[in-house]
Amino acid sequence: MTLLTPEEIAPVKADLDSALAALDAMLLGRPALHRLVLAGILARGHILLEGLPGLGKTALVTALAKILELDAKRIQFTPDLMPSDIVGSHILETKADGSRDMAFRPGPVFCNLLLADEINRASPKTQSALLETMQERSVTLMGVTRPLPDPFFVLASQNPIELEGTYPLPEAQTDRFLFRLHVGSPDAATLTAIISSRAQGKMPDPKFTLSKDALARAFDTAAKVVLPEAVASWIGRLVAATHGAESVKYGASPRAAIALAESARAFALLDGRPSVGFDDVRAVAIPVLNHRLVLDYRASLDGVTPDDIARGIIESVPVAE
Amino acid sequence: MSVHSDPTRRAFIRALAAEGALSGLLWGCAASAFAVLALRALSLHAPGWTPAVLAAIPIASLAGALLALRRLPSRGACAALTEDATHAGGLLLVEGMPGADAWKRPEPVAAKVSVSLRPRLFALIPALAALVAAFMVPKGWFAAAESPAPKVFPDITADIRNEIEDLREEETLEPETVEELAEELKRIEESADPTDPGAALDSAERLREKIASLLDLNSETVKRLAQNPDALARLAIDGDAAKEFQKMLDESCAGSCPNGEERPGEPCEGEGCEYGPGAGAPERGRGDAEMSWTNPSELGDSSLDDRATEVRPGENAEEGKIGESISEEDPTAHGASAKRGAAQIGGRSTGTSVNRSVAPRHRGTVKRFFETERNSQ
Repeated sequence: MTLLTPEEIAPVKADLDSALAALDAMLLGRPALHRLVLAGILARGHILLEGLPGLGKTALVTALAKILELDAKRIQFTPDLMPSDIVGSHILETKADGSRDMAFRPGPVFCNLLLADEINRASPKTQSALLETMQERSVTLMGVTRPLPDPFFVLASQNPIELEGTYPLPEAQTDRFLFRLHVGSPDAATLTAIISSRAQGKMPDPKFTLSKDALARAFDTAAKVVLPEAVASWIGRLVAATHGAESVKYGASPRAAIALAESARAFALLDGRPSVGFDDVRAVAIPVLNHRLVLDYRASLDGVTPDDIARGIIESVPVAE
Repeated sequence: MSVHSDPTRRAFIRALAAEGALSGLLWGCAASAFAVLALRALSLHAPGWTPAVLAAIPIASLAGALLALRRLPSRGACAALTEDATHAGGLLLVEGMPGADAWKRPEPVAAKVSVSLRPRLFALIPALAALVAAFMVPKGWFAAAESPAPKVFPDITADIRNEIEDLREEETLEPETVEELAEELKRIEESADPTDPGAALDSAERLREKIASLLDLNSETVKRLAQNPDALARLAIDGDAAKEFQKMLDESCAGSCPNGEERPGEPCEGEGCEYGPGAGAPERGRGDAEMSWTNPSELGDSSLDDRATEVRPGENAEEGKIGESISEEDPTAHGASAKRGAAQIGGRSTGTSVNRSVAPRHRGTVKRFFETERNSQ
């Protein structure tokens, strides 16, 4: 295995920097969040955005789709949403010659970037319709498996406060999200900049777009970023430490270790490096682990959040074995 | 593995060695101080021991450094620590890979190795002070510590010494005897073992009894007392002492001298007085009787029989005695109690009868037993 050369990484880094700059220009005040979202995209992961209404979750997905020139679709999840509303269904179609046949009408899931808005409002049956699409990136209907377009990402949003009439995502589904990102409220300066520079808060068009080829090249480059043995060992020990940690009922799955490694690679690429360092793992560890830890009653009594526990684990596990 | 990790590794070696050496120094000082104290307390300390005790300190320090170096991280761990400390982004960890030369970065500063030297330095100060103090402790402290004899021992010897001094002053005994007693007391005190004062206490007690026996009133003692002007003067002054002396004289003759020779303050006169003090008397009872040491086997069965009785399994050796003991009439078998609950037991084999009151809860059982007995007859 050969390290990526600076010449190989430089154009990719330049594209990613431009994409990030464009995203920051379209949505003000959240460069760190944008960096994580782009890292998640580079790692080919699905992202769960959690935040109050009106904080720009949908705007973020829309801006990302524009910059990456991806086919983006949006599903507003409601309790009466059916699986066929997501993955599509077969209808009886009359052909030109008068014959009839069951024709497949693809659902909105057949896109590159799917915004599942308020995903926790749909019934578990509908939520589970996303399981195969997220993991296998394919849809199976009436015995026929249809692959989804490449790349395919789900960016789901959920409101953490309006829990009445919602169906919390099962662990099996949350585990399929690479990151769970908290979308916080912007500060006063950001709000001032938004209302002073944008009429009706309308988002400007991106000044840079990343072509599909450039995105594919970024994916290839990210896959070649080296994960040193010492860092891999630390990732393994981090995930293992979640099992048996105080106030943790169930620790993170092996999928968490894979997610940590892949997202750390993407983070290193965003920084223009051919290898993953411990700081890259630290940057992505909390978004990767926070929705994969099932806490027990002590955590709720003590007011401990998964973020706190993940932070404690990162600090307590030494980098050197 | 990595050139960059060497500075860190060297820093680790230095820091760990320093930490271990300090720990060893600390423990060495503490152990030496303890050893010096122990040797002095056991009176084993000699000037020759001091270099040996002090030599243990650098040896302990060296051993501590060597032990600490066993915690030295591996080269890979050193590289990881350097990588983490310098935020090298993984570049230090892939230096050996092909293409790494293109990513050559300036030599990173070795990771700062945090070793807790300061607490050990602070702890070293009291350890050194303890070592110095161990040499400086006054010897008297150990002397006090090594005489754990109970307080009663000096009290006893002091009493005996005072008693001997009194004897010497009053000349109650022969001066040679008094000197012998003083010498014996001195020997007891010198030979006393502080760790085991029991033998000395016994000796002191025997000496006290010896003095008491020497002071038993006899004609010689009374004569000496009477010839001692100081003692007589004290008797004259001290009414209680005079009464005591009178009592002693009365007891010595016991008022039974038929010759009427005894006088207060004087021994019985006349060398031939057979009833004088110490001469014995016919009324002394069986103490004068001739002791018989007859062989017990010659006395016959009537007086003493200490032969063992052979008892076979299932037999009761005391059966005959029990039969005799219950053959007496039971006083409770009369009157109302006999009417209420007494059972008459007829002993067919012995021909005796016994009346015993039976508890109400046992009456049914007893009744059934005797009815069975009667029926079987």
